[in-house]
Amino acid sequence: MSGKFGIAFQGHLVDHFDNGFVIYSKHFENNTPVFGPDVDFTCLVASGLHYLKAKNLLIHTDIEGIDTDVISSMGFNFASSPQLADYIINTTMDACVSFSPSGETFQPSSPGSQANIELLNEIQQAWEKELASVSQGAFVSREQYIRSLDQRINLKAQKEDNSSIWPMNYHQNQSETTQLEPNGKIISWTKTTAAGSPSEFAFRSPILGGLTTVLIEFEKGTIGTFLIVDDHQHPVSINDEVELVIRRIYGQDGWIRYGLKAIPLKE
Amino acid sequence: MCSALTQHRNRMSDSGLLLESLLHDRDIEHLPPVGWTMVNVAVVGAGQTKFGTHALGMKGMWHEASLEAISSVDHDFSFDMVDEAYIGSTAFGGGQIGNTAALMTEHSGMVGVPTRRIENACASSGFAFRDAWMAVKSGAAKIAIAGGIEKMNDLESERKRFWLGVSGDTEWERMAGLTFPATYALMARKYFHDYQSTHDDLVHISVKNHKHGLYNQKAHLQKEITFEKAANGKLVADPLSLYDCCPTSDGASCVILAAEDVVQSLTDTPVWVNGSGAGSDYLALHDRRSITTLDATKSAAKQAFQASGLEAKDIDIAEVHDCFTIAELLAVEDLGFVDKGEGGLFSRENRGLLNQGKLTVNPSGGLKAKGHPLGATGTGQIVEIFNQLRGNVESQRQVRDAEFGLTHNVGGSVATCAVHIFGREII
Repeated sequence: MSGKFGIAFQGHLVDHFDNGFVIYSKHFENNTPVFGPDVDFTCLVASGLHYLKAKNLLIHTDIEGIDTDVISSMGFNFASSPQLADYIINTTMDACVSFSPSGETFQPSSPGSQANIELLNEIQQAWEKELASVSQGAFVSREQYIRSLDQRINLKAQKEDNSSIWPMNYHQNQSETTQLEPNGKIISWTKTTAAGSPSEFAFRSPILGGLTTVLIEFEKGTIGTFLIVDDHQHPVSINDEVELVIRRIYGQDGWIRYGLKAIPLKE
Repeated sequence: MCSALTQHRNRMSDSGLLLESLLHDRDIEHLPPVGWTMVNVAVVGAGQTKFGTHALGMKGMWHEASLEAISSVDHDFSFDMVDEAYIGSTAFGGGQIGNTAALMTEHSGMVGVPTRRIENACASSGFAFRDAWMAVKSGAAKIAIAGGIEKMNDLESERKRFWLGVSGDTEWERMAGLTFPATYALMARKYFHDYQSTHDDLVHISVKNHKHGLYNQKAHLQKEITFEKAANGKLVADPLSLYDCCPTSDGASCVILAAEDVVQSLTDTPVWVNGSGAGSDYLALHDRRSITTLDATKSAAKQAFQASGLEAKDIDIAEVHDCFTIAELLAVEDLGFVDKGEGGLFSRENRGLLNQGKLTVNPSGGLKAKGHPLGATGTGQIVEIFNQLRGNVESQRQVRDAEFGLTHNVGGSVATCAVHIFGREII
């Protein structure tokens, strides 16, 4: 089969064929992809849809557990049957998703790096505890989260003369909006230990050796606050360029909050 | 009760009306409305509990602080003379969020006094004091109390973690993994990068404040630390370590404010409020004009200095909000004690150390050593200035010949700020 294989995309790998593509985790165990520490099917599907570089398509999937609010916020609608869909999204194994108009599935061809399975298992257990936790203080409700998805996932911003406002501010003109490009440079950063992380991250932070948060300056000076993806373990520096990708942020009250995290472009 | 106070009470009782108490002084070039009589205001009493892990609950701590405040008033005074009460608290832990103030005043014998909780995160009681000052300054009240209360250390660790950081932008900062150590760490990293400063500059602040706190009987952490120990502390949020962070404390504080015409009947040694200023900024760091110059502090300081007619160089004592060491460094700059970018040098040269130069910074030990019971911190700073200016603190940490003191109390990562200037004389 001809195509391009092992294309690095948003922290995942893509094999591209004439009749579709497959996007999969870069973490492997015994030649099989496994989910990274903050990736699940929703993240893979979202990245696959970014890879399509198209909007307003009808998609269909039978993959369980996809956060349809996140996918819908990206401008895609779910078709009621595969026959009506422009793209069918399928999976035949963990951490691997195929996209094709016909529903064809593809096998990943490029083994990524050997995963630290022990660590990933620990992380998985931590996610389960996190999901079962209930807020005893500050929290973001499901409704509040959904209201913000267009900003959180698509970087929808308010347009000003020479800049943009993100996150959006009700005091500013709401009518003219724009979309920030999902990249920028680090203007400050910190790595928190378990003691420095919010309680929402308390189970995973110690396993990951802390979490890195960065202030990012987008083009035209707009600034945002983001976590670095969980599988990036190298130090970051001011002025490093980053790309923003969709990942799990944290779980609470039985559901996952997704959002953008930063991948440093320099390893 | 003095005659002026009696007249005041009769007037209040007869009319049932309060004078307009809203005081717009953000731009102090605005003249007060015609007929508006603004009076001088003094602090006539102040008290606080020891900060730390307290055996008493909220009610007991408030009772203790208010009792000490009453005891510090030189002449006859009782809480039934109070017209208004303003009590700062974040209601940490959620144990008593609603009507916190009424519950507190109940335990200091002030049932019936109009009371309310003021919430502005860690600046709650700094703003409670400002509101009380406005009430007295405007003539709406003759005597008001401002105080603060927080009980942080009787929560289980999980609940405590949920409450730490609730004053940041939950939706955009907390979801990006930030609590306040991390927020201030972002400021520190940027400051180091832009101003050729290093973590050593922060270590000096930590060592100094612990040195001051050693002799403060009300301080949470009465112990000195060495430079080496502070420089090698366990990281909390890189580059900030444990020794850059204030502790979480229980505590209460209470101050009594009075109008000039009743001051003499209450005390021979008033501490006058020479200036008040307050400001705010965007809640999240990413929305700010700068994260190394904090506009809320600059704005509050400008108002307070203009109102007092004083300049930064006139101040002898500053109690600044060092919830993290970088916060003190930035405050010293933003309050105008040094130029921008010179806070590191000020720290390296130990210029804020007790009686080393004109200005002593945080002779109480600051939040770093004295402790930080969120809602009680702002009026706790005023208790310190009150006692310093009256020569009533432990001799080992008494600032010599101090005439003017300043308090700087901030909420969160300086989304809100209250600055007050005090003196032994009316100016």
